Amino acid sequence: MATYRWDELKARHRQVRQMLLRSGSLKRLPRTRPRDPDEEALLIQIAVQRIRRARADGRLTRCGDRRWRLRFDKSLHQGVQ
Amino acid sequence: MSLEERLRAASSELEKKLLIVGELTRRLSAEGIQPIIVGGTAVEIYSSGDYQSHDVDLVVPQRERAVRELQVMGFEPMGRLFYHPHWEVVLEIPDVALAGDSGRVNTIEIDGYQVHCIGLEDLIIDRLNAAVHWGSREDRRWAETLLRAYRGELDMTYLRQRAQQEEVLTALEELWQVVQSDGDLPLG
Repeated sequence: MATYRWDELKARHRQVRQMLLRSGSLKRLPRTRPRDPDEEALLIQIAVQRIRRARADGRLTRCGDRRWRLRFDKSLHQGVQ
Repeated sequence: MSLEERLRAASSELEKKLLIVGELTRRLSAEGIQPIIVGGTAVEIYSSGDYQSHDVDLVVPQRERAVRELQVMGFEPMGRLFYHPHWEVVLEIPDVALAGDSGRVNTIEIDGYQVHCIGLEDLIIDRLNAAVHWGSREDRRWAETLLRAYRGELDMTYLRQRAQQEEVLTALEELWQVVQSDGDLPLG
């Protein structure tokens, strides 16, 4: 079994991503294979729950008729760079 | 904290993209120019990051001025796209006119910056357009997700009017019926 170092894999992933971003290949492509209806319903349910949770936690707040606030929880993630 | 420091501390790609658009918005605001986030990044905002988009689509009426500012910020033109090699972010200005009501554009505050984002109703119409005219099931799913998550807050009169204009009213009514008949989904 081949052994990879996590740092090397991350660096390789980053190189590929840079290449794809430059070429515009990461633009949205239509999905050709339809999802299973149960999977689709579950994905909708999960997304709706996450939106409701974000609003309940104050990460996504409507603070006026046309004003919203987005708060990112730094403690949950590491930097992206 | 400088933009570079903020970007290094960003907790997600969405935060990073919004900080960059926030900086562009700040630079153009003195001239009364307001970039508006549309497309997948708008879905990311309203889904609090659940949807993932790799690039940022902006509508800017004064496209040439925005392009100049993007280049000052270090973006390189790559065909119709603008790529920042250091920040690894891709921007596109696919249109100069908003497909929707500019009076319904929302202002999003993020960490001292402001960005402007297409209104929820117009975003739902955008997803329905892709669902109906391109046959995209993924976009249909996101239209339904947004309808469910925000159903008590949507202007259904406006949504129906726009859907009729775009010839997606049947699809909207079908989804709306499903959303209404299911009741509230249980919270996990």
